Amino acid sequence: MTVQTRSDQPCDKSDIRAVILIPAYGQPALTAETLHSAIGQQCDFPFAVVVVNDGCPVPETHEICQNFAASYPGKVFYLSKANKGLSAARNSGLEFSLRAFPALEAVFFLDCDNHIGPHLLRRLVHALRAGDNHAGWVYTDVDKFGFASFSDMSGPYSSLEHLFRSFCEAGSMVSRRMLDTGARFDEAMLKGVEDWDFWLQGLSMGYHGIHVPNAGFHYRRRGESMLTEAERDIAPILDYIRKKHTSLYSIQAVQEREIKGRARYAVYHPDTRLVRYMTATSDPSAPVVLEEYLRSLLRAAEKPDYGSCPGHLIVLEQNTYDLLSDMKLLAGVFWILECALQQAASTSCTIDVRTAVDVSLAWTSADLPRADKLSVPFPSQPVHVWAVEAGALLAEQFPEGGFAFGNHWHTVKPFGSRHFTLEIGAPNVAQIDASPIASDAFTALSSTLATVAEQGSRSFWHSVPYDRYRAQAASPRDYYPEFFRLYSSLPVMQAGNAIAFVLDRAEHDDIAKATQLAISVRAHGLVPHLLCFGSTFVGPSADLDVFAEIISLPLPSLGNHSDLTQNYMGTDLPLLDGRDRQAALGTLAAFSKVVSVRGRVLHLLAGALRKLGVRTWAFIEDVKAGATNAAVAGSAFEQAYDTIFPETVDVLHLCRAIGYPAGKLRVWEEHFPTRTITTAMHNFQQTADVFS
Amino acid sequence: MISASSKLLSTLFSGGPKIVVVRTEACNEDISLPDLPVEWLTTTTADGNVFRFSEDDEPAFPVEMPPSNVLAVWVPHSHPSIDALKQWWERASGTSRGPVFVHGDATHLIGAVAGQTLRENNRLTRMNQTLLEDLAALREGLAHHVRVPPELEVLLKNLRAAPPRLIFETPFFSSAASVTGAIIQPLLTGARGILGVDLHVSNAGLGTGHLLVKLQVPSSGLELAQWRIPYSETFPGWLALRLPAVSARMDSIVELAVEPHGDGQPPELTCSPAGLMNEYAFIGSDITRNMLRMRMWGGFPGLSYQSPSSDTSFSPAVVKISDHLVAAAQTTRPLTWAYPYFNYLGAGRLLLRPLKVNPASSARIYLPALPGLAALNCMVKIDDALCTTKMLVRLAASLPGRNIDEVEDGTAALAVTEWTELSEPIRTFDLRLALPSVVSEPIELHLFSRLPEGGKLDHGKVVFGGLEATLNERVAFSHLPYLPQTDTASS
Repeated sequence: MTVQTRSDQPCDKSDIRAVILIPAYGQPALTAETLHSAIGQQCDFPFAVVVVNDGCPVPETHEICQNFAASYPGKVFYLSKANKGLSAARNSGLEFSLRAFPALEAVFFLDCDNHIGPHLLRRLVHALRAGDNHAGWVYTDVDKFGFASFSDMSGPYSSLEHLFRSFCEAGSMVSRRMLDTGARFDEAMLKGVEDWDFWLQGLSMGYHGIHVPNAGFHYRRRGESMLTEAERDIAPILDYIRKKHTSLYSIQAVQEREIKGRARYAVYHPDTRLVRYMTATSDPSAPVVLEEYLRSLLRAAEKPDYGSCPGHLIVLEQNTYDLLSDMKLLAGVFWILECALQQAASTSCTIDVRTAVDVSLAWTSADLPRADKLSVPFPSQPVHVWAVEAGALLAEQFPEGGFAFGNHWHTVKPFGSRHFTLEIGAPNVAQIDASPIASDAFTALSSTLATVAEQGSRSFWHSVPYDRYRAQAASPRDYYPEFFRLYSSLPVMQAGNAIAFVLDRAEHDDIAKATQLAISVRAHGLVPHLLCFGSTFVGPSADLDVFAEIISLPLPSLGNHSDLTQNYMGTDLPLLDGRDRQAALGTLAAFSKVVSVRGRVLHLLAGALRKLGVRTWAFIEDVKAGATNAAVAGSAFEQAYDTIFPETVDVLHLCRAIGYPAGKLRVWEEHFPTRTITTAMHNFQQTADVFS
Repeated sequence: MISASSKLLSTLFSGGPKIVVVRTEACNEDISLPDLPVEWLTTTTADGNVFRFSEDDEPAFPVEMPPSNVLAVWVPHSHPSIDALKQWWERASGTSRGPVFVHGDATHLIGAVAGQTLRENNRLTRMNQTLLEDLAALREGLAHHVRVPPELEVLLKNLRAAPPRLIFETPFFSSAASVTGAIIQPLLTGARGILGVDLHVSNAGLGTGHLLVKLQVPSSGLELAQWRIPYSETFPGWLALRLPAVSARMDSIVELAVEPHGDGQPPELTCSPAGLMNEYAFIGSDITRNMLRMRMWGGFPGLSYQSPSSDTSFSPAVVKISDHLVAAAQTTRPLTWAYPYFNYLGAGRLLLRPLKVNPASSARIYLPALPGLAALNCMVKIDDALCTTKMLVRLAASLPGRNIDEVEDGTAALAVTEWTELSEPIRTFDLRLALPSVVSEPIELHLFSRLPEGGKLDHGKVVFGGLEATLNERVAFSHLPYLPQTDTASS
């Protein structure tokens, strides 16, 4: 390989390994500085500088580019084209580089008012070479000059963070493999932020970024620039990007990254002093000791490492965890506590397990007012589960909190704490047990946090005034509200195959019906979940085996004393207040399909769920009390459903008579046949098809 | 409009001057090229609409932009037509400053290129003249017109008069290890404002070797300073390394490289756990997750703290008392009030309300050993614009664990100030406590506040802040500071 100590020597074009691509428009004096820093690279491989004049009307831009190209023939290549915007200029440079330099490995994008240090190209290329086959690009810290400041882009690359925060500058290096896959700048994006879109293309192609600390990228920060212009129009630009990258920004895709990163809950067992990280309860991390978790929490407040520390802490003994897991209640309980934390600074749950013939659940809750001071007290009475946001935990220990923001959100929540009592009835109760959290566990947690803080010199490091903009624990609050207008969503493993059967009441015959439907879908590769909007639940244990998870979500709006109801053509329908609606939507948002079974609450949500990409189905039964009410209630929301499944021919006729579009009416058994289709069923489907 | 083979692509867009010769595909006639210092490119066309740059029938791909730095497009024969090419060239390049398009023999071409060259020469002459005038205007502006506002000059004068400041000190643990090998220690600050670094030696070196310490910029490899310390001159304690003047460079990231050279036993440098921040641990040693025990000193960029009459650089140094030490302050008297009378307010500020009870409200701040501690000072104010009562405040210093009443009356204090009257609200008052002799061991700084006797007020809002310690560096070091051995880029 050619060793280059100075860059002004022409290279063998067939061996050029890297290109510095500079789109030029305006500010010719600054362009000269940029070109000067580009040709000053000290590399151990041949490289070239490609400058693309994007039809700049200022003649000096052409003159400077031309002069540099003429002065460094074979090193600086000059392309002049009609003005079509920054993206088009970069794309022209990319096409030229890919064609002209067959050995090209990488392209570094350098805007015409920035500088680079002499070792930047070498360090980034070496980092790219050391990366895996999915290494798509390399980025470095941004040392801003002009208005001086330093942007800390450090820490491992987090694709989850990249969805909501642009921390890879345009001044980064893209790999040849990513370009060969077709990544190009979006020429329709003329108002900026096209660099974020470009890296998101790489992400959607399966590539990831690599951070190289302090490689020497100097970004000129001025009062007015394309960036400040873009910041003014940021809302429509972000909207454009998210609609364009639907494969990244669907709720299932976002949640899949969150689940993979195990970024939502830190689950601590005081009896074993072990902590597991998880988003989906069925996919926990290997356990770490408490001290390691607390260290990651304290570190999360100091340096960027998004996703390494979950934003919620849930405390429960190991046997309580096992009990809830065995009963398939774990995900639901964690989700209910997370929903409670939207309104309360902390939340806790007491679990009372009793012997019963059937599986039963009964939730009650009580709220405590907000404390005047900033503290989040540990529970004073025995509880089985306690949950808090990581920021509140830090704020309880340290007056100023710890994170750059989000330490004291608990002080603006309506309640100081919410305490649940969960009565669980189950057969074979002698074999199951749930222990309350030991009374000294919280004191031990607090003292361990203090010890870890002292050992890590936390107070010292926290007093150092470095950039903490990206230092935070991962929280659904960072992206769900912005992407989906939800606080969060229930984590669902393999959401693409997950189907939720939704009940308003969960009693024997309701669960039996849902179970019957669930069995039929399971044979077709779907994973059924049972979801009940109510505070009570009673069902035979055997029926529940078919479900992957059982979630019983108590919604105060649906309580006995609620006066939130509405009436549609003589049929009563429930209403949900804003908080309950958010919780219910978040519970269902990640499923690929939801089925309303003998329920009306889902009617209120189906439209919003469809907008989130969830397939919405309603099953209308021929019950003894008559299907009319169910059919009428459903008709008020028919537009929100993708498909309606009448149970019988009579119900089918009824639905048509009420005005359901025939094309939406389908027969369940045709969709999910569990045995040979009978003549009657066949006729039923034909009847349905006639009208579709 | 044009296409080119991949092989020719880089030639088309390289910066050297070019002349494009256009010929029809059917034309086999040799063309005599004039002797001009340019690169000759040949393009062929069948119909005057598509022009192809390639050699030996290589595949050609469409190119969206015309080649760069083309002086002329020359058609030596009467065919083909290049009108379409001319229009496309102007449109695709986004500029009207394109080449000249010439039909005819070499004489025509030379004439056109000569004209083009003369115009270019005129343009460059004008450009150079403009540049000279720009530089002259810039120099003139620097000489006569650029003025710092007088207020800023006063401020700068005060800053220049201020002593150097301790800007960073590694937290120290008594169980610390030590290191002798070559290491690189990242620093927490950028280059601007650095005056020097103190390294702590736990065991002196032996032999004829020397320790080389370099202050350098990792992103560019630039060396800002280099100190050379013979092993024989090292001894346990602080080793002071100073720049001749405070660095004015803008590099955001700097690091310290420490290398033992020569024969003998290098000195052992004291380490300290990096705690939460392993990115600030040194690299290159078997000892991991540790950083050097060190102190960094800062000052006004460009200023030299060296005395003109001496080659040493001793001067008093001011140390901000870290926020985390202030945040750990405690009250020293069991006073009670309906609401908190004492609290840490953040940013190194303490609330200490005087109460209508005797004795005075009091609090203490534990200060770890500061070598050569000579004085303590702070700012204090009544943080209530409506308050008209004059309140009283006092500072005292004592060794740890002394009786608070005896500290207040001075019998158990190293030093105590008089009661200072805060005569008006909001205004900031400076309190300074000078120690009768320098102290290099841990002490407690005591804060007192009380109401005047006989007043009606039950309490007042007194806030202490801006706590600083003044160190006498002459006492702090038992050896003169080292200066870089070579000229550096530090200023």
